[in-house]
Amino acid sequence: MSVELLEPLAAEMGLGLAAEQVERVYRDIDQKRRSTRYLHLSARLVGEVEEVPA
Amino acid sequence: MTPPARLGPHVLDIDCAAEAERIATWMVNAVGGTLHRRGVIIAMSGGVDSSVCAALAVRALGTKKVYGLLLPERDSSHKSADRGVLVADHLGVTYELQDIAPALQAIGCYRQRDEAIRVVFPAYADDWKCKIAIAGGAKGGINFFKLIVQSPDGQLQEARLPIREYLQIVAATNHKQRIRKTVEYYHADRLNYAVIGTPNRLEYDQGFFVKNGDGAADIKPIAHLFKTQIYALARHLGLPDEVCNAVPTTDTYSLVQGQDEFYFALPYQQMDIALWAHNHAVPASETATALGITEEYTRFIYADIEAKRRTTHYLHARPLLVEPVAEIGD
Repeated sequence: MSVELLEPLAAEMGLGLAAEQVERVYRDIDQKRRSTRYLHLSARLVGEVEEVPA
Repeated sequence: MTPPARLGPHVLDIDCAAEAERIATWMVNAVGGTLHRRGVIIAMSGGVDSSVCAALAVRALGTKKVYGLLLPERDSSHKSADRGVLVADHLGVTYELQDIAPALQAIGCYRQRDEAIRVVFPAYADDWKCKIAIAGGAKGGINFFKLIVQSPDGQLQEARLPIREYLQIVAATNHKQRIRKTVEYYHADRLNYAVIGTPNRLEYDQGFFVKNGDGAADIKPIAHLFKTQIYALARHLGLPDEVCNAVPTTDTYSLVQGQDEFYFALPYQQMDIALWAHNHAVPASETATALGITEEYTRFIYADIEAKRRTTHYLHARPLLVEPVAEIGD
């Protein structure tokens, strides 16, 4: 989301954050989701074992 | 001319060269691509499963990106540890040995187990040995567990285990697999590596693992392979004869305990075929002929396979949420 679009949202949130700060927070959330994705993964298998539900 | 037999060991034949290559390629993608890890941790028990996983990891990633761990404790066999060292040296991987007995002692593993044993055998002491065996079901009854102990003079005694004591012994010994996994993830975290889980298909399908113990891993490269196929891969990969000829044991109790004595209805060679046959809807009569067992016992094995799938389903289940968190993918 662009800084321009974040301006009204930042004001509405009433947290005293500038649009740039909100943008940084959003980026940080997305970055943490990417870098910790593997923590949610179940063990990777070469091939599914049909008899065991995923 | 007689038609070829439909069921026999040949149903488990694989192209070892192609399979080793397939797994190695998959491992490169899984470790580097999906998980973004720099290498792998492998706990090397000296058994065929972990040895084959280690060899496949070396093939995929090279020796410098494979870190071996030897994690013996008070009850594990010295022969297993020796085989672990043999394989690590054979493959040329860096490894370290950590005796996990002090951690197990501190957490209460041995005390909690022995308390339960002494309910059945009050004289049981530190210098005795023990194991659990399954009984009953194969004779048409309900499965129950026997406790077998050996006093220092070599005398064996056995008794039926009450369910409460059985559960306490199993719960206490499960500390072993969980402490091992804790050590594995310590090294995985410090090196930014992935942890290899080493279940074979029988173990994976039938729930023969400890949840958050040996069941926890980032990759499970041989979960789709039958034990017979893993032995074939071990020979193809040129692993030492000591590994290729090793008899599988649980290496969890101080008395030697075969997997078929504790969990599976048959030795792995037959159990592999029985599982394959059941998965392919082969009639019990045909499987019985192929395995040289009775049709009645084959029906028991088929039912036991299904029962184990049902009762161990929760071991595979991820934590249950009230509702999905949409932003978190699978």
